[in-house]
Amino acid sequence: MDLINMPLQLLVSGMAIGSIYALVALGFVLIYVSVNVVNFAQGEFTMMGAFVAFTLIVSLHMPIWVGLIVGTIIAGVIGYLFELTVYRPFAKRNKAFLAVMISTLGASMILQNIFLLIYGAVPLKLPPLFQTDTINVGEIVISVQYLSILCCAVILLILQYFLFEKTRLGKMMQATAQDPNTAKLMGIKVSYMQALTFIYSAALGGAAGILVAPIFMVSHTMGSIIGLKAFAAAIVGGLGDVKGAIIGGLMIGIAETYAAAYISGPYKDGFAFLFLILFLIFRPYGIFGEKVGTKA
Amino acid sequence: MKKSIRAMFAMCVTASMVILSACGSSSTGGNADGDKGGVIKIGMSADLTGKSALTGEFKKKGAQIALDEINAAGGVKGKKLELVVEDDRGTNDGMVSAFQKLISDPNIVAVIGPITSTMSLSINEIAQKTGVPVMIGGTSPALTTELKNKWFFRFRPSDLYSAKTIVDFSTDKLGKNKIAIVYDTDAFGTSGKDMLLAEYKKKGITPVAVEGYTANTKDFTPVLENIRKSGAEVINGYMTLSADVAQLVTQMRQLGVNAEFVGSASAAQTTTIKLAGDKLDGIYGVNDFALDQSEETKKFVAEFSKKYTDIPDLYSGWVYDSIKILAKVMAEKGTSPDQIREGILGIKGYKGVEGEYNFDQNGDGLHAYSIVKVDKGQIVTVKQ
Repeated sequence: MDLINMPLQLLVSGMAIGSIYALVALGFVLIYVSVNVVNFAQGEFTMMGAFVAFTLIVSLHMPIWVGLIVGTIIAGVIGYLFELTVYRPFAKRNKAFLAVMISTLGASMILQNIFLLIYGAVPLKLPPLFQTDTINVGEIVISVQYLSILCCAVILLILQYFLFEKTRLGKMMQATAQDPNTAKLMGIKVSYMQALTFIYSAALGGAAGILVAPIFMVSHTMGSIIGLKAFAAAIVGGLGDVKGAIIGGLMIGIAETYAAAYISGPYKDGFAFLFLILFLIFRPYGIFGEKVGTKA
Repeated sequence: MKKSIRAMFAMCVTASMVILSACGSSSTGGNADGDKGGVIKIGMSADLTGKSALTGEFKKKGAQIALDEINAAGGVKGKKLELVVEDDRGTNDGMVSAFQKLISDPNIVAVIGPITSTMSLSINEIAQKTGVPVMIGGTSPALTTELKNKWFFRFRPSDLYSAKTIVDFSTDKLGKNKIAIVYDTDAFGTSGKDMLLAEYKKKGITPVAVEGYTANTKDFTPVLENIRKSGAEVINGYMTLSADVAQLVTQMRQLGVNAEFVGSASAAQTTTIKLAGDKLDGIYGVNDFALDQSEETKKFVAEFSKKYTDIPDLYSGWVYDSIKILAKVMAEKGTSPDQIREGILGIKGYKGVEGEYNFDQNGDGLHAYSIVKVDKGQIVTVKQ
């Protein structure tokens, strides 16, 4: 019995943890596609969302669903501030992507320490979104919380697909990313588009944070743990591809879970990155990435 | 926000203490006895800022209660005790600089050191060279037995006793011999796992599963599935972070892995209960500090909650004991390093809040852990 159940249970867990990576990876992809930089503070959006939700739900006793919505909105506001202070001052520079990347890296450290100072080092617990903990399918246990994350990831994937491919706004954002100057000539308000991107990406990250908080616990380091794996997932998916980010996240989650169970537990994180390295060697453009010439 | 203000306040207090102590030392000059001017100064390092700032707060509060009690009863030979606190930031380098600052004040007769083993190790050499008695709470066995530092005195039981207590309880009391070990791959967890294995070997038992994980693991399914496959009846957890224990036990219940859980000191703690809630009910842990373990402890807990409207934890208990014992020793023998050493090593049958102190020649005061159980969200002592 164990021969069938154990791999299945591991698959469920791997997909669950992978869906979290996928959700955060979406935020990476969005910013990369729209403003052409990698935001190393993406994980911190997750952390901030979780802390905001904790304050709203636990300290201010708001209902969980209100906390989720208000928390996401506040995360979006934080994203706008982030764009103003971390992205915009460096965006006009020559080779801006380097300056911005370092700036996001610095922001990530500052944010972690600010939240450490405010909330302390002991992890906090956010109540789960649903009353039921788990559902059993045969002998396989599925966590409802994980299931909701997977559903949210899929919904957001579809939303993002429509936003980028089917709406005028999405096309404007894509145009801004590909060539801001030409976009400007076409009458697109480039700075609006960029601000919008950060707001959306932070809201996405924040929502992810609120969803994973009951499982990951709310702590100032939660963002960096998820962020790094999500970044790997985004690269496996071909950095810049929405479908790729989801599939990349799931693949990394499943790969590390199986490796931890059957090869070695302590090297679990190592396997996730080994997987990334293998991908970079054999398929450097990711699953859905296209071979493109240098952009600069 | 409250915490940050408190941290800033603590920083200001420390800063002013540094300035004050600097002034003090320049006016009194190098007085080796350190008991001039009507006060006896004890130095203390505490994690006032940084990752473990919360534990530093508990340490300070525990120390304050001891200090208030001693001074209210007339101090030591008519002299008031004074505490000089330095921030060690909870890191090894922070510990070294805090310790150096403290011992640069010649009026400080002894230092209450760190609770972690690595931080204790970081000041080993300086402590040996300067010959200032240091009270430590690090539980790695090597700290006293291998370092041969005559100035280290340990006020918590070493991990040797915790491993032995876990093993004895799992096999003799619970009557199981299919054991799984789960350990954090850091220094604490790895050495704990080795000690558990050694203890089981003495009993002729080979654990059916030994599973390592890295700190902050969020999904324990691989570990738990392997344990389920092994058919283990008891899980022994040598886990560093309470958050990881909460995570493991929660998922263990969710996945329906039916085994008893007996964990190291991080398991049955208020922090773990806060995180895991009723999922933690029924687990066992070995604690050096349990709220109901003795009359002395109960008195201390009552005093602590009266003063701070909070419940003390292991970070407060050993500090309270070490200051009380120091005061007793200084009153009986004197305040020079040799007199303090002689006094502490002579302590036998002293009932502290952490347990009964019987110092051996290595400088180890305590030799037992209590077994506690989490029962309806409360930590209760099972066996002394």
